[in-house]
Amino acid sequence: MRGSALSLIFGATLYGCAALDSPMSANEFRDGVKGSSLGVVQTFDAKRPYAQVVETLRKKANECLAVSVVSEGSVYQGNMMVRERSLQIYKPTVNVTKDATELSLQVGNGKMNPVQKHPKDGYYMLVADATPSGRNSTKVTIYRGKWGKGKDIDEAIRGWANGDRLACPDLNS
Amino acid sequence: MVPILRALGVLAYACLVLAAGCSGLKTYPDAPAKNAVIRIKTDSGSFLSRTRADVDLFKVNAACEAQYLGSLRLEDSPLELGLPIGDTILLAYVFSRSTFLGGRDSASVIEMMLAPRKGYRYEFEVSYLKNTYGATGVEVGPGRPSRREVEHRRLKDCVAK
Repeated sequence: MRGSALSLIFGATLYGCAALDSPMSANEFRDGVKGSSLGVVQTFDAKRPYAQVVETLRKKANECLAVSVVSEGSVYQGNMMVRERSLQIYKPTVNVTKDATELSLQVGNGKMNPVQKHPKDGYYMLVADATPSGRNSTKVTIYRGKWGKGKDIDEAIRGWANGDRLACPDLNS
Repeated sequence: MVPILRALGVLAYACLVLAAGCSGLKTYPDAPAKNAVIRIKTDSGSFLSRTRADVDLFKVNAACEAQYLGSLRLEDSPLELGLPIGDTILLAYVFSRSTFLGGRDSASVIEMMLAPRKGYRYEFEVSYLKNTYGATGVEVGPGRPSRREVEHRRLKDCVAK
């Protein structure tokens, strides 16, 4: 719950609370991460052909990131301890062209926020871009928040792109 | 009463799992004709946390309404089961973790849908190991000439016909 909450907070505050706006597209998210001290942008080369990397990303995103998570825990409200339940619905989107692939991941809680403008499928929490960088290599760039589940998902995407670790990250808190 | 679920209903079941530790859920009936097998790899967690995997099975109609059929705890491998032929079946794999410190419970749900066919066999691999989990499946044709992956598809993305 904590990791996902951090991701949600990151998504919501990327553009500053004053504006009450969060990134509405993967492009806006990239720009926000690049300009934020809370964001991380990392690039690596996967030693596999672009088509293979894209196929793995598409398949694993569908398996591992189209996930719903329900959490329950005890929290203090004043001096009383109460049980709190939360829901995160992850929504991956993979856009593939011959020259570039974009994997974006949004997370929402299934409710509308009447105050803050936000994307329909939830806040953006991570974007990964893959482009061919040679016959047998693919350049992958990942944009994410510094904390929260984004880090675990980043590591999983590296494994998928390299083809050496295909497990799904545990999105439970 | 047989519950009819829509969209987020699967998660309502995950909530029940959290609340009841699955003890109150109906066991998926043992069918005489077995056309599916689930192979399971799990560890039991650590000193500070406990993990478990379950599968909830639903029948989904053309209006995308899900009728709960029952649940199975995934601990003994391999697990043989019978899936009804001709219906669209939703398998919701629930990976849950409880931490002793702080009393937190959490469950992630991976869903897949398929329409089992006569003469075909369905093989699923499910794992819940340290910080990772996964659920995949293949449909194996009669005489094993073909293997097709079972699609990961959520009930919330189901489009009514």
